[in-house]
Amino acid sequence: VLGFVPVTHTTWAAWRELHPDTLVLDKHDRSSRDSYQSYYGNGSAGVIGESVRDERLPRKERVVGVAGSTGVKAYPFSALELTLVVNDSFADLDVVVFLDAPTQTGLAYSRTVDGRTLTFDLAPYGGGIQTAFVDRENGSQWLALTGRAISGEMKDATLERVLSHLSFWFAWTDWNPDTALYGD
Amino acid sequence: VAGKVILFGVVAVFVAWLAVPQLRDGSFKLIRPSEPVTVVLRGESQSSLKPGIEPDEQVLALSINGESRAYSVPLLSRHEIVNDVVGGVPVAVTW
Repeated sequence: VLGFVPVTHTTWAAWRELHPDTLVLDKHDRSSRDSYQSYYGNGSAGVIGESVRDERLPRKERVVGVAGSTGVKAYPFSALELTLVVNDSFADLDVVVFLDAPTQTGLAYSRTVDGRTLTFDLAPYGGGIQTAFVDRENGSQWLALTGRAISGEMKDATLERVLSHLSFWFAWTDWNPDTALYGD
Repeated sequence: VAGKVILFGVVAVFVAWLAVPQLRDGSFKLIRPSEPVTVVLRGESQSSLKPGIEPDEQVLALSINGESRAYSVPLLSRHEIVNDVVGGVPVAVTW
């Protein structure tokens, strides 16, 4: 089995600001138009189609799909756009799932740090890459897009990304027909 | 007949070489959709050349062992997979 490396699906501007030293795949000045742009917005399930039709969400709803060792769960963007931060527990995982609405960046972290389970709220300040969580247990601040604590007792600790990725609902349910659904 | 076929082949390759700059500088692998991309990296700080990515363009990005990479989603839509080594770790980035 291939190992999993968490990626961040975000905008180029946000990533470059987070990582000024980043390298980037050279596009050779190719167009920034995505050849799948119309596909993203229509109701089609793609070339292969779908073998499972789970009508709890529209087919093309985007979700943050999270996998634990004993179960999987999907967090729809439509729900995350309302709350931005979700503290949740399922299977063997305690997770915090975050959506940065302007960049449509959805991330899932384990909220267990040094054996303690933390609970996060969105800080009432910041914005962009400075968007932060505050944990209720000790008041430390954590950058939402990197999971790194920037102040407080937990400073310099980093939340661990859990096995997760962004997906269309139909694709997630095709691979994970027994998925749990946040808000269901 | 064989001579004509060979001549046609030479002309076709030459036309392709003219039409696709990536073939001339050797930095971009010939690809078909779904074929892996050979990674070529260009940091903005390394040259005056721009990577050709719009600020609001979606990327798949990652950091390993202090090295960071970004891969344009529109480019990944064409090629679907990139093979790279980041922070000493071989990775395949898929879309």
